[in-house]
Amino acid sequence: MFGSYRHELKYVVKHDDKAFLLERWRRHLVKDPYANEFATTPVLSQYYDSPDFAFYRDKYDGLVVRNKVRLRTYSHSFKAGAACFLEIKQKKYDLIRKIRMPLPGFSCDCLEPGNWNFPESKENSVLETLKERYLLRKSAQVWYLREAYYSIIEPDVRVTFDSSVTALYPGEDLTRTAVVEQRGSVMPDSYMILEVKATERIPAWVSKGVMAGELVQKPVPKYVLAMDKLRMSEFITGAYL
Amino acid sequence: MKQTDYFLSQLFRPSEAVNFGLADVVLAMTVSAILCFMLAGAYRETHRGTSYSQSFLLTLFLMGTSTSVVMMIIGSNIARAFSLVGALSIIRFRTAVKDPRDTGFLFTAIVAGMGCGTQFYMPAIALTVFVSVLVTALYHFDYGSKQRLDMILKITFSREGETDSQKAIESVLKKQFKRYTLINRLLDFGDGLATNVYVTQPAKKTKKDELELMLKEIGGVSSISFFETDQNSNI
Repeated sequence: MFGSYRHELKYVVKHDDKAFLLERWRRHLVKDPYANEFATTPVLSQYYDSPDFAFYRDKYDGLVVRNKVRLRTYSHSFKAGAACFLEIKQKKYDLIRKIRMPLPGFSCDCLEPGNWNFPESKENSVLETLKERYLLRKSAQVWYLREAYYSIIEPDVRVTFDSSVTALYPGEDLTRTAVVEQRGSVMPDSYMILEVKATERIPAWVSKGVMAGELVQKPVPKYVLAMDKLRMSEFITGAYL
Repeated sequence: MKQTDYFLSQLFRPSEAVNFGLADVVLAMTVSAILCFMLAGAYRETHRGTSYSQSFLLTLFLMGTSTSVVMMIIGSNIARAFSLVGALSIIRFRTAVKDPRDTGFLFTAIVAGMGCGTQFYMPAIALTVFVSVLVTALYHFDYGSKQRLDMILKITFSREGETDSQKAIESVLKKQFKRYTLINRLLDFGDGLATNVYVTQPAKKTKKDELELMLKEIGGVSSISFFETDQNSNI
């Protein structure tokens, strides 16, 4: 499904800032109904990239139009039969669009791009083009805990706090020890990534809260942070340099 | 040839109120640039965080050298001073200066430039040297920082009898820390365990070994990990 272009603001915040913002925004936000008892949802994304990590390099090169391809599940691991989605995230200047394809009856074979055989559609042709042009293969995985909130009044506004962002090598299983010992952790546990997403416009209460909290907008691409943490870009072979 | 001579004489002719020559201009700009170089060095040396910008550093040089020439042009002529204000008002400065410290550096560069432009070299040099040394010293002594080391504490325990374990853990934390906040829970790994992640502010009396022993005595607790985070660190 083609999503519409949306605004996405990102900030790195401390747990104190989160408490401050949630208190300030309490009349505007409700918790995500799908979250667990602690209001968090685990998110695991398997990213795909070219053999020379073109999507990763595009970010560093400052390209204004960029793509990312990932397989996402809301759990600690990819399990057969679990709800999984293939997503293409496209960035065009300051706007972001997501093309999302659910994978009903997901099996672990779907983790390999070679096994992506979908019926012909507009979305799939975009995916197929990216797959062929970039010779997509598994790259870093990113896992984190997402605390999501929705705006009560503006249906298109979503606020999320992502914590325990952990980088994993392709095919690596997430273990409790890896998270607890912060082995692949891309930032200390007392920090989290605040994301504000809105299709129409960023509401005034968000802007005022951000100003009151003295937050500074920052590019914090999880895939790029994970690649840097795992030092995967060093694996680029001579042929692609 | 005559024309060239005319243009050159026009170019370097002293205007009615000018009492400086090309050598004075070059000297003012050179001294100003050297002072800005010193300021830029102090700025780069003492910069913290991720907002470092090379373009800001270049701006310091532009500000310093251009101000020195502006001051020479204005001299003691009030009409020229007002013209300058008028001319500057048409420029829209829309770039936000992110750090108040940056404003301070810009101001110092302007003052140094003013000093050079009005041939008050000694005060300009004294100011730049003093400010650079002062800022560097304050930076190295970490003056004014309200450092707070937070401890991240991760306690893994069995989900069986979880309520009792949690109560016991929190009573230990209450005694050992000035402040603690549960920021996360790691569940659902299929191992029957839960991990609570706390951000705590240690009291002076807090000793890691004792704390670890006290927590391990609680039934169901299987592992404890500590991490220290500087709350002032920039990501």
